Amino acid sequence: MQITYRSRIIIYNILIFVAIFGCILFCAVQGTIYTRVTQIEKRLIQMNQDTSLYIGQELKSTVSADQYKDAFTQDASRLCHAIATTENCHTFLYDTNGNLIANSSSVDKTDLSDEIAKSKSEKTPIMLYLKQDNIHFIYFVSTVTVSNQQIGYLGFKYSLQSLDSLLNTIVLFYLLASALGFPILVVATLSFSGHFTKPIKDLTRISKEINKGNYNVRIHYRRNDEIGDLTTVFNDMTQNINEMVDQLNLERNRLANVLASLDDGLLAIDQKGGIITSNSYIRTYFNVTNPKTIYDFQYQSFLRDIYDALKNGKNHISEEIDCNGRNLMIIGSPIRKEGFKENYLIIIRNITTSKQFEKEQQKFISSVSHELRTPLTTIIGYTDMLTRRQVVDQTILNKSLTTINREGHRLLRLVDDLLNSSRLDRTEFDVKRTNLDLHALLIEVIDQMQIKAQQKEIEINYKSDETLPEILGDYDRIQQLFINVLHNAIKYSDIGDIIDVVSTKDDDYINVSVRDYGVGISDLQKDRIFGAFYRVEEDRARSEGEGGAGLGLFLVKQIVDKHHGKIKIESQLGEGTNIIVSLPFITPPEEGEHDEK
Amino acid sequence: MKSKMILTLSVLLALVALTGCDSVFIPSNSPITVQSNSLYNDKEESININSVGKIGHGTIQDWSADNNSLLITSTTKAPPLTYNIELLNLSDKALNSFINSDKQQLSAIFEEKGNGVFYVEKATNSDTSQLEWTSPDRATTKTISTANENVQTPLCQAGVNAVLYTNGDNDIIRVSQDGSRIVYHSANGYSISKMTYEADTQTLYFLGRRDSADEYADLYSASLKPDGITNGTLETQLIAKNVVDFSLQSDHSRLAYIMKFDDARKIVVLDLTTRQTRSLAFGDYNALSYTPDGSHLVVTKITNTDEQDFQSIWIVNTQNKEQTQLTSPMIITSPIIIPKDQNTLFFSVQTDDTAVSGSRFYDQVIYQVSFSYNK
Repeated sequence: MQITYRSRIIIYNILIFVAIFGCILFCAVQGTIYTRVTQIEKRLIQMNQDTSLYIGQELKSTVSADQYKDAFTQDASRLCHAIATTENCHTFLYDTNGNLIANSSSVDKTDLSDEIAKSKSEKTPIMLYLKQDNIHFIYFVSTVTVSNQQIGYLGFKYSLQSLDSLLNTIVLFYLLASALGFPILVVATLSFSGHFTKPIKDLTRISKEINKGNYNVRIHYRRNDEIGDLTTVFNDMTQNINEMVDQLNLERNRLANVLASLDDGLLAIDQKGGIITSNSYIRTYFNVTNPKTIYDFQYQSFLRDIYDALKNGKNHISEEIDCNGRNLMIIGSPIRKEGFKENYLIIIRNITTSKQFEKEQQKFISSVSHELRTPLTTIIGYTDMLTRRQVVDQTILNKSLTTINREGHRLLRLVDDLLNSSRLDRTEFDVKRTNLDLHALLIEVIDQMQIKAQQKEIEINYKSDETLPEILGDYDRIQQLFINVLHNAIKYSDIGDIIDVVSTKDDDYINVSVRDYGVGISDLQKDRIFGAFYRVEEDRARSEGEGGAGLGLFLVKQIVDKHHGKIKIESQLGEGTNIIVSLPFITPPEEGEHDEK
Repeated sequence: MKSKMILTLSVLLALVALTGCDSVFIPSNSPITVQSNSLYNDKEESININSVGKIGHGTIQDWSADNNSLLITSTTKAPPLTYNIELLNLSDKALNSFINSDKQQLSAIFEEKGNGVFYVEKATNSDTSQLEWTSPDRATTKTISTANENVQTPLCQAGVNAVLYTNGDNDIIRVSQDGSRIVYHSANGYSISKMTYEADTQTLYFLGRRDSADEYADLYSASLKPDGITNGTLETQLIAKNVVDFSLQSDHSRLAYIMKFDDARKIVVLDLTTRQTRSLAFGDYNALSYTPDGSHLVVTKITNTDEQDFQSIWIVNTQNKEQTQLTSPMIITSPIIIPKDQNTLFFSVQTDDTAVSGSRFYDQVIYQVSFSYNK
């Protein structure tokens, strides 16, 4: 049977109570007996002395010294009676041989011969403590000596009835006190045990709350004692746990955010295949929500293969796979740390874009190679012809030189574009910002492009708000920006078309719209047209003589970004294209501010 | 730990249960040798009781200046009842009748030089007592006190031919056998139970109660010189409170007294020169007297609290405080007389002579106890 802590307190308390009361009773009884018997012993010694003197007085006053013994024997009855009366005690007188010669009571026939013999041999009084008929008595035996002459023995029988009565009273009152005290003890013990176990119960209750995850609970115990110390330490411990849990949650959230911010999918797996953590890209890539184990990826056997390989001891695995239209790089590695079980990490990286970029780059290199090769082939062909045939015909010579010059410019332009593209691509490159009048710049650019437009009989209409504010920008880059845009507009316009250039202002930007009515571009091309090395098919068809390398609009986008501007393209196939460039203008200071300055 | 505790508890409880009300520390039914017995204790000074004698009957009142006679009062054992003052010759133990009267003598003392006896006498049908003086040859008897005066006991010698007594008004009167008298009023009207006069310095020491209902008297001194009296009123000095008895040393240098001390009593010695006190002994003492040489005090000790009349006589060395018991407990009815230059005590003891006489009768027996010192 399991006894509760409180029950044990009560039982122990009752046992202690019984033991203490037992000890008190024992000490009270024994102490009383000892003290009383010791007092009686002194009293008997005094009685013996008194009696010896009395007998001596009586004998000395009546007979001579040589008659003491006989006189004592003869007068024993009177002496015994007188002594018993004076001392109020049962008295015996014995002769020198130990024979009883007088007894103040005819009832008591106790034989004290052994005690007399002992007193005789040891020459000291002898005391005998005994119980007769449920009453304790002390017998006292001593020699009777008068003028150094032993004349007999004297005995007293001292009743301890009063002592017995006192002890009975003590025991009675003890039992009465026990009977009264026991219920009080039980009630008091129940009360104080409840008082003492309450903090323990509170601790248990609070511990259960903590076990449930509620760390904000506290024990309220105001006394500055041992329990108070315990509750203080417990409360401090709970607070520390609460702070640590908060810290862990914070770290977990931070880690989750880090994992979520990763551009890669992530899977951390334990030795049993359980998923320790994963991020949202897992669902994106594999359409699996909240995987619990690696085996939840039913259709991604490659993940299980990698997991098995890592588990079998491989240190690093990486492989490319095509999955759901994506190019994914799967990288697996073990997580090993001394003292911890081995876990595994699988990174899933989406390399679709970089793959596409690689393809574009290959196309670009092929295109650039082709573009570089075409004018060089032409230049080399004409220079070979002029060198080998000794051409003297001025017409042929002029045409050849013109062609060489044109192809050389083409090469130069191509190289410039590549150079600019390279420069703008570098992060450390910065534009030289100055205050510039965009309206004037546009007029200058349009003037420059008029010659090229007239070659295709294209009319450029420019319409602007002449009160445009100044912008902060690099003049050459902005000029190049609009040259490239107008160049494209001219290139994709048909002969005899018009191009509308309109500049307006809204709250924060100056918006310059360059609208052509050429072939237009598809929505797919719109998303990619600002990429490097991208050339639409139409451009390839129209590239003869002035085709680009696919860097014009890429440069435009770069320059706009460097000036914290925006660029938007609106186009439909067969209906032309409208490119809107927005550049932030300088906000003029308020009148008040100016005045203050 | 738990088992040890349970075992201890069990042993304790078993001990209590088994012993009950029997003694554990005192062996039962087995002889016990009593080691402490003051009779056999070694002392620096042992006192031997040389003889004990019953030398006569009556109540000792005083002894003569020549140490030859004891003044005794007695009554006749058979009708007609008379009250007697007798002189017991210590040499031959002869008893000489001095006064026979139908009046009761309450107290009697020798005149200092033996020139007669002063005694207080009370008629059977009278409420008052008178002080009488009778010459040694019994030829002359005079009433010393005034007619309306109620003389109180005790009497006290006050120089040659003079005696001190108190009356019903608690006045202290000094009278001579020739009838000259001086009345001293005490300011507080003390009820006096004992007086001792020291003639050299004319100082009176007395035990007085302001209220006769007081259990204990206080010890005072008063000078009877003219300059100690203002308008006839004694100037008293309190020496000690709650005093039972006192005794002046024969050379007048010390005063010993028994005073109440908590629930018991103690003997204190006061040096009258330095006024320093010294406690001598503690016990149920009742009376004390200096021995003539002043080296010891003879004291009575109540030895039976149930029968308080029983007193034993002890002798106490005033230097080393050793005590020796001289007599068994008896009912002592007189002062203890210690004649000069003798180691002898005289005192009267009441005895129950019922068994002897056949009817209830208490006799007064005069004891003589001789002792000697062995240093």
